[in-house]
Amino acid sequence: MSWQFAFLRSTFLGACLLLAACGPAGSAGSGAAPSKPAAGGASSPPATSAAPAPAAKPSGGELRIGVNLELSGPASVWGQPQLNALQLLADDLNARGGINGQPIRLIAYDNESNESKSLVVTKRLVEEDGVLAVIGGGTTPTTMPIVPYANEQEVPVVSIGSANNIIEPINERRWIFKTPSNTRDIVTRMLRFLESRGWTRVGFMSVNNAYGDAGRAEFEKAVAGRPFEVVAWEKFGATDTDMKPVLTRIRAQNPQVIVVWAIPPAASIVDKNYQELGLTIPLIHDHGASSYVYHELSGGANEGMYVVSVKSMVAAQLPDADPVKPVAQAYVRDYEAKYNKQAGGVDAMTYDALLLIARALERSGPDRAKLRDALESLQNVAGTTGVFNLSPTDHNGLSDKDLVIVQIRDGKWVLLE
Amino acid sequence: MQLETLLQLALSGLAMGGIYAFIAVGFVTIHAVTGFINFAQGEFAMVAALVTASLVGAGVPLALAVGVAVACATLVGVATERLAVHPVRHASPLVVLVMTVAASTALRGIALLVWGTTPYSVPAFSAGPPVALGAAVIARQDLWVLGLTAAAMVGLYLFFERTIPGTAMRACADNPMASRLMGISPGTMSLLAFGISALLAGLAGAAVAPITLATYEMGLMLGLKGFVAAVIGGLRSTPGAVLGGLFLGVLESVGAGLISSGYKDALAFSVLLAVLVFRPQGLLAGLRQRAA
Repeated sequence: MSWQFAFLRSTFLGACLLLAACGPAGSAGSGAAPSKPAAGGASSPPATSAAPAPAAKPSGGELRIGVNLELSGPASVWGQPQLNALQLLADDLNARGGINGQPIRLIAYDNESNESKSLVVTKRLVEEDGVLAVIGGGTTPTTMPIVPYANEQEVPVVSIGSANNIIEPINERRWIFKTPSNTRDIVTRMLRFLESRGWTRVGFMSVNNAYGDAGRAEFEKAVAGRPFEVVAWEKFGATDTDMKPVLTRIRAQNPQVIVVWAIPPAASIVDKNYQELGLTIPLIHDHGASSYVYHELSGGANEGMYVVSVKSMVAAQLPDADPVKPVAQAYVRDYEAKYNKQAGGVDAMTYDALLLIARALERSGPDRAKLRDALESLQNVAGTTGVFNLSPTDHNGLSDKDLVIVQIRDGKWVLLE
Repeated sequence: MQLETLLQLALSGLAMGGIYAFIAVGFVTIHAVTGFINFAQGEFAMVAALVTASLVGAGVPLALAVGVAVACATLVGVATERLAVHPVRHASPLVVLVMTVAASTALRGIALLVWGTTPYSVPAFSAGPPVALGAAVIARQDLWVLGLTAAAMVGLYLFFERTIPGTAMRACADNPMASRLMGISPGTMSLLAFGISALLAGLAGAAVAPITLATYEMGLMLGLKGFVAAVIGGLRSTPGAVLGGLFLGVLESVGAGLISSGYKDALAFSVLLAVLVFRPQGLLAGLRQRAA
């Protein structure tokens, strides 16, 4: 008998060790997804020292673009669609002969939704892989730590984080760009809508991290001196599974509208809890919710909710005169054809990040400094989420006019204004 | 803070409390029968939640999906006992505890490989608006959770008091040596204890999935909170574990409402420390003695 036990025990222990080694030990992220390059194998030349600005490597004619995204951890609901969108555009560009005859190669790493890990993978992209530019992080918290590094190393970064302070103050952010609308523009757009509805008593709840704090700070600034009264400022954790206490507190203040500043899954749990409490106060999400991931996770609980959305979420409903419409519609169609999943907002922003880089590379050629200058001078680039007009003082290039207000009705996203 | 807000916070907390109670009763059952602490308890709930989500996603009716998911969780529990606990049952309880932690990490790793990091949405057991209770409301899913908790307690009571295996398990808990002399196999009883605990955790996982979404990493926190609830109840009594769970759920919810949701976990683990330091016999132990 005992040999049986010994065998079972050693097998099981072996399995445990194996899984412990490649699985996560805590609640953080996975080791299964990271360091899997999106295209081709990861080349790992000997690690160069951290000396300033190892130049982009001459790489046999291919244009290497680094990708630093949340492929695991709390923000991972975004990472995979974002990577899909990048791969879609890269394949498309390469099928057309690349950029000035040079193919694009994406090198993607997982930052595990972790701030310090984000810096680690960015260093790896810059120093080992010698990329021309980095796309990422996919959120504000994972972008902030790489900002000083990218400036110091003089590597262009196009982030998918939305906070203003990713690209401001501009003189300390020469190498940093981002595609999601500025938090300020989102707030402006949202307040214009709230004002038109006459909803001025606001209950504000935001996720307790850099993303939520940025939204809260801008909102606070924007309502000052205007006829808005914020009756509750609430915070909740990004991994909280029960927002009912927060919603209950807000309800007690009797607001006319609840503003939620969060990304899924937290944004979706808010919706579920909202329905569970039987609330009827109108609720509006910031554009962290403008993605199908949010829609799916809410599982119908988002009926009637308002979202400050990017245009790609309602591509087909845009007026024909909108220059974004054909780009967004083509993107949504191609994405769904390739991945058999609905395209959304956050992935579209990531698509636009590569689109901007591609447009800039057409003019600059494979050189980091020239690429930066070219990015800064891009004008009238119609992407999937808006029309980009960048300048030395505006590293985003969108305005509040590139945002739309959407309501979920019968499970569909309906363009309101 | 108005009274109705407090009432609402307490009611909202009861559902999570019911979930903690399920996990806590699992801890108590295994501890009573085998003397071990099983930290893989939360992972059984995770397995059930994810299996439910996958089956529902594949178009299986919800009731069937939950049934299969609970069966899967039970199987995983039995397998954990055979593979991780049984081989080291003669070692010190600490070794067994470490083995269950390892099993928990392994299960989480497997779930990560199978389901990935994406959370899954599961529909509520019965659709419809929340039920009004005076000024407060309670979600239908919360009612399901509380109903299931009550049903499980009655079921457990009947099992332990009225059936031969249940009586044998109690005997094993009271006096392992004497019960072995009476022909009760401690190995079988241990297996049964893990099966029952995993079944309860599975029910909890399937019931909580519509509320919190199902993810591969949900089990860790559920397990720890269940452990806190079991300790509050004294780690020996099933009713104590249930009350401990409900108490913890309400405490978290009211605490989050009155202070901040950021302190929710801190609050739960402060209670754990306080109970372990000041009343290791559990909050209810004194009451019972006085009553008796």
